[in-house]
Amino acid sequence: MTPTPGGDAPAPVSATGIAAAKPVVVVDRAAREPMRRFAAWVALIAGLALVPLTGDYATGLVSEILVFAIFAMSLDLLIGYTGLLSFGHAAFFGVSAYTVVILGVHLGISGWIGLVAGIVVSAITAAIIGFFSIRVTGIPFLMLTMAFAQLLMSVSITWRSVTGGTDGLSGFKRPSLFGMSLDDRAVQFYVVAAGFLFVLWFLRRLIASPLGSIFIGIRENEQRMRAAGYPVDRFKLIAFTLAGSLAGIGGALYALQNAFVSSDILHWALSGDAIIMVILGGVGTVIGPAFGAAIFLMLKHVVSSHTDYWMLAVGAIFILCVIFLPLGFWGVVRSVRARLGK
Amino acid sequence: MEFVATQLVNGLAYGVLLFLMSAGLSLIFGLMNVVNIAHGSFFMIGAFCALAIMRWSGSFWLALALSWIPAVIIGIAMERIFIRRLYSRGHLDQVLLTFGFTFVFVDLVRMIWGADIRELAVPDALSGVFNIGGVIIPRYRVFLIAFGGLIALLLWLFLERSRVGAMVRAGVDDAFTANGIGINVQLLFGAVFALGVGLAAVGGTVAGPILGLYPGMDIEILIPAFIVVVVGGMGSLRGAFVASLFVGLVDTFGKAYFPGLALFLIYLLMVIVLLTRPQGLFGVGKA
Amino acid sequence: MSADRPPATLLETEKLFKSFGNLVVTKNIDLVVREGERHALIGPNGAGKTSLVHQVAGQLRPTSGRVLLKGVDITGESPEKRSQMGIGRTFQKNNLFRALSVRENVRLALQAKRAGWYRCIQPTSSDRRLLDEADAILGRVRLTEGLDRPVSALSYGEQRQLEVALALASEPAVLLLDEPTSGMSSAETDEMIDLVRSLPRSLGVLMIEHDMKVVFSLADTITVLYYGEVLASGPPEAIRDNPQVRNVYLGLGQQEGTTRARAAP
Repeated sequence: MTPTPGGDAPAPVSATGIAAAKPVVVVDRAAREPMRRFAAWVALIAGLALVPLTGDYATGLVSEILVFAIFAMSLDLLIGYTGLLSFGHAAFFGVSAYTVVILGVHLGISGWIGLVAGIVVSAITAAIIGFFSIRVTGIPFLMLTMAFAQLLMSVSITWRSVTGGTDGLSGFKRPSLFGMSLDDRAVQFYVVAAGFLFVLWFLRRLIASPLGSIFIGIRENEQRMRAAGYPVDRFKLIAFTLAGSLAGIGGALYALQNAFVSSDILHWALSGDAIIMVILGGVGTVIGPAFGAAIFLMLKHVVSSHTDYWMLAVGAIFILCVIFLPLGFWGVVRSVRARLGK
Repeated sequence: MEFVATQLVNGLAYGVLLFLMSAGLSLIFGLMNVVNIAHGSFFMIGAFCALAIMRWSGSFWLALALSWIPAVIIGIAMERIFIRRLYSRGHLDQVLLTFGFTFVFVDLVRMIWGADIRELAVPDALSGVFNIGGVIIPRYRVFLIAFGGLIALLLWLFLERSRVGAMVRAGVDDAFTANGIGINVQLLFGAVFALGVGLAAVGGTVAGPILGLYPGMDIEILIPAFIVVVVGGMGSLRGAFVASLFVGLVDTFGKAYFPGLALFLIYLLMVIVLLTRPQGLFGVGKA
Repeated sequence: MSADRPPATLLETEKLFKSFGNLVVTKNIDLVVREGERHALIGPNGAGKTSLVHQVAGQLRPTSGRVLLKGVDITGESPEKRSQMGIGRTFQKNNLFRALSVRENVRLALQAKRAGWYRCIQPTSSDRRLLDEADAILGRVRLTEGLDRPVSALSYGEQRQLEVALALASEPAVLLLDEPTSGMSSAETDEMIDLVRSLPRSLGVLMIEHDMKVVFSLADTITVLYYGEVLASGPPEAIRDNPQVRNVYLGLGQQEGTTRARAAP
């Protein structure tokens, strides 16, 4: 099992980090063979392009999956790549969604401008929360990030006049793209898919880049990184802000998709869902969390069509995953491919 | 004056509930380095088991005496079968594991009892009010405060005066060395976990008449309990005691005088403590 | 080395004092490392050698006293700042990026000294120059094969060599080596001696060592620490003939049986 040369996106799971029984350095063969990588992208884009043809239900489901895939992938930048377990990631997702809807409903501002504003607001929020949270690590970091998110949720509940409180804010008018309204399911889907593809592309580039290698280095051995001369705290803050901004993209797309937002979006439970998606899908990989989002949401939809108790199913699977399959779905796929490829 | 007295009583009563939750949480973390996100679930399980026992027997006292048993059994099983596998891994893995259990527990409760809010009836002996100099104080809350004080005293006696308690304190201080001098740390872990979740279950039972029973009550109590543990210090029983009364009073008075700000206040408290003194007021300094 | 001017002082400690409560770890240590100097730090276990290095490199804050690098007071600076200013170190226990490849370990350390930290779109594999530099450094520590392997696949001795490579990648002015040959075979130790000998003469080296063969082969200056204090400091012959030092080491040699702690002829 040989790692790729020169720091090309190996994304190993650290022995000191989350959910790892032992460190595994995995080959990313697709990354080494440009043709295969190109083919994978083409297949993905083609697949997504065809989704709206499968009907409203499937389109809506895949759209929801893609939005949460963005959310989960952004969280993995913290958990799987920089080694920071945050329990408050919903804050950035929610704050962005609220920005889009509030600007649209109260000020009549177009959803496109709202999108940009939402991302900016989530970036700023992440920078502020990150600035304070980075000061601690481990369990205190977990609690602090959770506390900040709950703080924001309590604001959204109390500030009813602006946010609509627990009832939420509706009446958002979706914008149009080249004359086609986003009320059209297909158009809406393509916008969301474009966002997903962008985030996927960006994260893959980031992980293989110098900045990404620094995040990985921090996760692997923070003390060594300091001894080498890296201002580690600064990079943790950069990772936190980047992750928050990417979550903001997801949140803004959520707003465009649902044309509605309520304080539930800032609830700790959403942060927890994201963590489950990351672990199920494959912590420490770029696309793993996207699979995790798919698994989580499909489980939820499928199970809840038969019974009310989908949380039991998800919880049980998650527990088994943490104990027996810490690499997650995509992590297992990659390590199997690596072993076969030898 | 009457208003202040009422809030005082309510705040202390809420503080007792927080103490029953946080004492266990804190001990479990102090000894085992495990953050039991499912701790609130045991609070919930205790409450619902009490409901079932009351339905069947009609007696609150019987419920109080027995409701902790299923919770403890589940807790022991959970520790033995699941948590034990992860001791060698980072404690963040345990966070994830216990988090997964919250999903399982909440649905199990929903399956058995449904999603509606239930009530736990106050026994006749404890219903009604005291009238002290014109101030009306509900009897049940006074009972709660007294009960909490009793439990705190028993816990303190146990930790400070008994042999097992000394072993627990040794383990909290340094589990590795404790093992080295012959203390059966594995057994101790199981026992402390059982004790912790048992306390939570008792808390759920006595909370029943005040808070009501519903499947979401596990998270509702968990976050304030975390705040208490952070403020008081992980691993410190004294910290849990002081902080739970403090947080209970702050929350209650906050809700009374600044209703808009109330939710805000205790999170702000947690943020401030985490930033200025992450090990809490009396913390063991392990976090 | 015949210079017209005396070699510059690179590293200086002034009365470095560190205590943990009642436990005094280092007591008023004055130490100097000059340009080109190979300065060995020896002493029995627990004498405070690693604590001294931690205080110099920044992992530990002294209770009192100062550390000066090229005349600048760095006592309050973080480890990362000190590294940027010219301190490179190895750790007593291998402190590497275990899951990353050998080459990536060095490339990462090297990248710290280069611009381009924030580049986030171009892959690291496109910077061939940096990769070649990393290979060059690895060549200097005699690691030339299997650079794609994860660190966990290396032998213990090879990992020790990689430790040194990471320290060198920081392009230090002062190199702190904490027991570089610990756990090494005789052949590996000789290789490490050659390596240190081949280091540039502009570098000042402070090395903690227990192996007297290494010490007497390499050192221009030896400082002996005993219970946190400087027992003696000077050129090798002076130290070898120092009765206090002989006492400390003779006594210890008989008790602990550290067979490699024999003075070179």
